[in-house]
Amino acid sequence: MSTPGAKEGKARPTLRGAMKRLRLAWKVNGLFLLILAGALGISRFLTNLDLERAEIAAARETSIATSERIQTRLRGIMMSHQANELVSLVDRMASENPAFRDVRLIAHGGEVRTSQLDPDAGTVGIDSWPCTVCHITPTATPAVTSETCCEVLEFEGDERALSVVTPVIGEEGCNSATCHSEAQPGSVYGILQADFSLAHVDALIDRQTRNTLWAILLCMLLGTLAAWWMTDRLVGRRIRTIRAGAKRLAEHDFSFRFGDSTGDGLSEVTGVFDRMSSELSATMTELMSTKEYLQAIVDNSADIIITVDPEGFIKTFNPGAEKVLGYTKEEIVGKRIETIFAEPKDRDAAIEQLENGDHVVNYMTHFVTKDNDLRNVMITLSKLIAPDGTAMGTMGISKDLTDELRMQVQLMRTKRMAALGQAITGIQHSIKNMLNVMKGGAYMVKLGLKKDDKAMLTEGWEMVRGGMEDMTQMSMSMLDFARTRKLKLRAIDLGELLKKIHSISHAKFSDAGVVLSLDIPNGCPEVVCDEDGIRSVVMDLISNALDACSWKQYDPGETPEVVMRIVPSPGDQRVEIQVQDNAEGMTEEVRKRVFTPFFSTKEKKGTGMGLAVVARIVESHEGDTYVESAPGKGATFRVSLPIQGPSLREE
Amino acid sequence: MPKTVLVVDDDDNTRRFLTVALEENGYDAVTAADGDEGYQKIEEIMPDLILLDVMMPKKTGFSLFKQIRRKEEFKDIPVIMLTGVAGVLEEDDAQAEGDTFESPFDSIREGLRRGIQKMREEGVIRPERFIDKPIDPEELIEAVRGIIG
Repeated sequence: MSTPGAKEGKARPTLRGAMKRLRLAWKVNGLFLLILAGALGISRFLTNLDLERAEIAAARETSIATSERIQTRLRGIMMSHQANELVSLVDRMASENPAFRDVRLIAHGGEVRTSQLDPDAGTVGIDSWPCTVCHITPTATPAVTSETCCEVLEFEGDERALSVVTPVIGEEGCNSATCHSEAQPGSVYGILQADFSLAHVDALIDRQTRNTLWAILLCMLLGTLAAWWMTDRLVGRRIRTIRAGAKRLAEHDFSFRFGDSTGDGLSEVTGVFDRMSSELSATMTELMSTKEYLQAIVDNSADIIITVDPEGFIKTFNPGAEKVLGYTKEEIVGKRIETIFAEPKDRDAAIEQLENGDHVVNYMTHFVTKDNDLRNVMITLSKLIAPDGTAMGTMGISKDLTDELRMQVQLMRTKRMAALGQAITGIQHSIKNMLNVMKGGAYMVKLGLKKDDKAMLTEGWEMVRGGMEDMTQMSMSMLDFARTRKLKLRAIDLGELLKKIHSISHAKFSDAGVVLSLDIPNGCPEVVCDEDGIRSVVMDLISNALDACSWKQYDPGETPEVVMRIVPSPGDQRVEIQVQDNAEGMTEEVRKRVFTPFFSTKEKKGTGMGLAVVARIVESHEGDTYVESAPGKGATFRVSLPIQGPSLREE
Repeated sequence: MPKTVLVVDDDDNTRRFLTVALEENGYDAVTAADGDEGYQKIEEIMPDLILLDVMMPKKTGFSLFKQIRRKEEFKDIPVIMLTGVAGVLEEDDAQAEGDTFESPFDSIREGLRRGIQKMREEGVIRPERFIDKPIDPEELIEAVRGIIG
């Protein structure tokens, strides 16, 4: 068993350590001494107790023997009626036995009394006392008995005496007593009562009681000390260690271990503590690594990740946000979130959307940097909700799309350049064809003039004129295509638009024997778009479908039909306009090229610009155009538009 | 006896003025509006020369040309191909490569090149001449005369 002082001393060999060790040694040694002394005292006390018990027994024996001796002597005295002799006997007896206090003879002849306890009582003449056997009432005297017996009498002042009562048995010659002539030998005719003081014994008992009390006190003290020491040694110190351990645990120092192998109840506790400690350590390590991992995601994300408290103040601001927006975390945290919105109304609108759901996904807005630069961002807002359900604010993850958008614009320009190249070559091709005809016509005009052939001249002229007309028409459609009309965006009900188109066009379709029908679902959303642009898209698509229908030889019983349809797809925030015909359809090769400028399958009809213009308008809405078709299966042109309208807007 | 020239072109006006020009210069002109009709006419009249438009719907000038060249009795008929694409052959001969500006012409040229390449691989003799549109009738007559006299 090593002392804690020794342990600490090893750790810190200082004067204080040494003092501590000394004090502890004294404590331990003193305790042993105290326990030893206590043990000695108890054994001594027990021996005393035995001695005193023996003394009381001895006093009793002595008292009984004295009393019996007196009785034997008395018997003779009484017979002889010699009162003086009786008195001297009593005195002698009293001097022989220091404990002797009092004696009373109760007999027919009267009572003789002498008392050590009450010296004033004196000696009363035997004749003056009436015979107690004959004359005294039984209550006033001890019961006459034939056996010697003892009884303890108590007097005032806590004095106690042992009273020995012996019967006086009649013998021959006792009849000589005056009034007791009838007394027979062998009968009891008096009692002798002798009292012996118990002061000596009482003193012994008092001492014994005191000793007992002291011993008990000492034992209690020693027991308390021992218990304290044991508790401290076995429990207190370890509890203090546990407390220290718990404190270290609370300070997130999970390296602390008791390593207690004593195997007692407390070591179970410390064992549990150790296990808890190591489990906590593992959990904390895991938690820390999870936290670090999550933090690393936030820190290393190129996205702008900002959390905002319910009052609208910025709480966290990740490095991605610092990089894009130019603020440091320190200078922006605590500021209002509107600081970074170019249009604070945008934030209000997004929050309003968030109120109706858990997330606002891909909301396009503008942030303003510290240097007052505008950044196009796509923000996804989520509510932050604590495990107990209270609102902690919002988290926004925003993607800086400025460069991407710039690139997209660049790409669009490049695409436009390519389209321009295509257009130029397409135009050149068309011009060549037209020139071909005009050149041929000119040749015929020349020939007609030369030969004075008016018919040929006219024919040639018609060819030249036709070519000029074609060129005029082409230049008109080129104008349509090339015109960069600014989109007049507003939310419109596409269903209504299609109904209007239907009412304008169905007569023209009926004339051609084609049915134009509508398929519009209920609750189709409003779409932000340029109404004129979308109208011309639909008009072009249905006129294309009408042409397709008019070229097909329909079987009897089959009706040429064109359907205008709206198909909303709420999931991706788009809506689709479809124009379906049941005409011949087209080959894969043609299908792929329908939207190319100057591509036409209509030979001499059309300029090959119609669908190119359609694609162009849809593209300007950031929509998509598709065709589904196969030979003999008809065709479905699909125009998909974003409900929110185009997000890219060139200045 | 005048030589017969077959004009295969989908464009009415082109057929018309080519006919006028050919007849004016002493040739018999027969016309066809597409590849199938053209082949039919060849079988009927065995022309001395064919003026063949490349870009025609349904059957292109090239497929008709190959059809002619594969057929033993027609393979020696001289053919002048009428194209809307300038300088195809010259570029083909020069093996021009590395064009950076993509235009529909590139794909047409590429198509022509591949067509010509394929004809060579298949042992098909190339057409006698390519003439670009817009066609100058007088120039065309010169070319015809150069081939069949």
